[in-house]
Amino acid sequence: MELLRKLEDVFYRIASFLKRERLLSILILVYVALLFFDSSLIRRTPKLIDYESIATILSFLIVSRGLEISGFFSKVAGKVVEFSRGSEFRLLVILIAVVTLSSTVIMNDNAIFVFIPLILTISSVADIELSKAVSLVAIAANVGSSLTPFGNPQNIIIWRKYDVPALEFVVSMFPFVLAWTTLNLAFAWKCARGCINVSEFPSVSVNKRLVMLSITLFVLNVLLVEINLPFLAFLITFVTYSTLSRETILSIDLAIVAVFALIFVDFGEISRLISPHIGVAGSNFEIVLLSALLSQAISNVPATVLLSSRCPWLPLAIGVNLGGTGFVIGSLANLIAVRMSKISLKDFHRYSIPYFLAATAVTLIILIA
Amino acid sequence: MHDEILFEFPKRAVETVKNVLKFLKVGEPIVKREPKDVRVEIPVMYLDFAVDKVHYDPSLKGPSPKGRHVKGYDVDIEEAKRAVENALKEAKVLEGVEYREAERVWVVPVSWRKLIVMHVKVTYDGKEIVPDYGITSEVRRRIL
Repeated sequence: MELLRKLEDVFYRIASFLKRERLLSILILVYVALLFFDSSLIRRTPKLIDYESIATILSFLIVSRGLEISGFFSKVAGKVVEFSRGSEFRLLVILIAVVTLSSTVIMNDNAIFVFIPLILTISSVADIELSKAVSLVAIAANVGSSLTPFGNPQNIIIWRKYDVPALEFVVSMFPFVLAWTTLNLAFAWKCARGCINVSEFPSVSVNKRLVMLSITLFVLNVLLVEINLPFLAFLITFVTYSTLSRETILSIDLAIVAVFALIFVDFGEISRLISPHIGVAGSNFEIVLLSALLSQAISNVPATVLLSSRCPWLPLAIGVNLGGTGFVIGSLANLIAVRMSKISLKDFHRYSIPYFLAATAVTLIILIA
Repeated sequence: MHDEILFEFPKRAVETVKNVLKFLKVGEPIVKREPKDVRVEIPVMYLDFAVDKVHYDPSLKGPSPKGRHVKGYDVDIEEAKRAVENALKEAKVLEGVEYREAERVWVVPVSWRKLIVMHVKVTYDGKEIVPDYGITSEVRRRIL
C-alpha cells in the first residue's frame, strides 16, 4: 500500500513536471530523438550552446521583470483607461501605442504580464470583446519588441551573433515596425464598436527604488553587451537583484535557462543536419518569407537559431519578428497572453492570422519598393 | 496630522480595498504536494499582482481561515479554484485595520462567512494597493 502511494506520488510529480514545463519537455524529447539519429551529439552538446546569448537574454529578462514588478507599468495602465474617456477605439489605440512602446524596453512577454490583467479588469466592468483586445495587444507586444535589439530573445540572438550596433538595428527595423503598428491600429479602427463605460479603480503602489535600480541596470546592460561583455552584465545584474530585490530573481522560472540552452542545442543540431541539403541565403524577399513561415511552424526563437548562420541579419530579423504574430506558437508572448486571458485559440486566431497575412503583404511591398 | 493617521488614512484604506474587491480574481492554484497529502493555496490577484493567497480546505470544500493550513489527499484543483472564486464574490471588507510599521502599510482584513480569509495591504496614505511580492513571484514562475 505504502509502495503504491509512493509510485503514485512519483507519477504525479512527473506528470505535473510535464504539464508545467511543456515547452521544456518537448525540447527534451526532440533532443532524445536527435540522439537516436546521431549519438555523437552528446559530445557536441556543450559547444552548441550559445552561452553569451543566454547570459544576455537572462540579464534583460531579469531587468525587465524588475521594471514590471515595480508597478510602474501598472500605473501607466491605469492612465490608459483614464485617457480612453469611454471610447473603445481610443482605448484600443492607447493600449496598442503604450504596449508597443513599453515592449521595446521591457520585452514582449513582460508587457503581456502587465497589460493582459488590465484588459481582463476592463472587460469585467465594460462591454469590450476580450479576444479582440487580447489579440491586438499581443500583436502590439510582438511588434514593439521587434524594434530594439533587446526587445525579445530572437533579437538578442541576432544582435549577439551578427554583432550589429544597437542604433543600426533600431534604424533598420524602424520602417517595418512603423508599418506593422499602423496596420495594427487599422485593425483596431476596423474592429472597434463605439462607447464603453469603465469605472475607476485604485492603482498599485510603485516601488520607486526598484524602478531606479532597474533603469540603471538596463542602461548598464546595453553598454556592457555593446562592448561584448555579456557575462559581466549578467553577473552584475544577478548579484545586484539577489542582494537588493530577491523577489525579482524569484519570479523568474529557472527552467527558462534550460529551455534556451536546449533551443540552441536542438535547432543548432537540426541546422547542422540539414546543411548539406539546404542552403538558405537567397533574396531578402525569400529569407523574410521563409523565416516568417518557419516561425509559424516552430516559433520564432528556434527559427532564429536554425537560420542565423545562413543569411543576412536584417531579412532574418524582419521575418522572425513578423512570424511572431499569426499562429499562437509564433512567439512565447502569444502563449502567455492566451493562457492568462483564457480566450480560445480560435478567437485569438480570428484576429492574429488575418493580421499576419496583411502584415506579410505590407512587408513584402516595402521590400520590393 | 495625528487625526489623519488615526482616522482618515485607515478609513481611506478600507474604502480602497472595498473599491478593489470587485476586481479581485483568482490566480493559478499553488499546489504543494507532500508525500502523503496535498496543500492547495489560491493566489488572489489584483491586476497583475497577487495581494494574498487563500488556503483551501478540501473537507469543507471552501476557503480556510487565515492561519489554518489544511491538507488533503484527494483535492480537485478546479473545484478549489471555483470555491475561492465564489467566496470572493461573497467576501466582505472588515471595518478595521492593522498597521505594520516596518512596511509602512495598513493591513485590511477580508472576510467570508465570519472567517478572515485574506488580508490586503494598502499604502500609508490609504490610496494604493501594495502587492505581496513573494506570492506574485511564485505566480509569475508558474504561468507557462
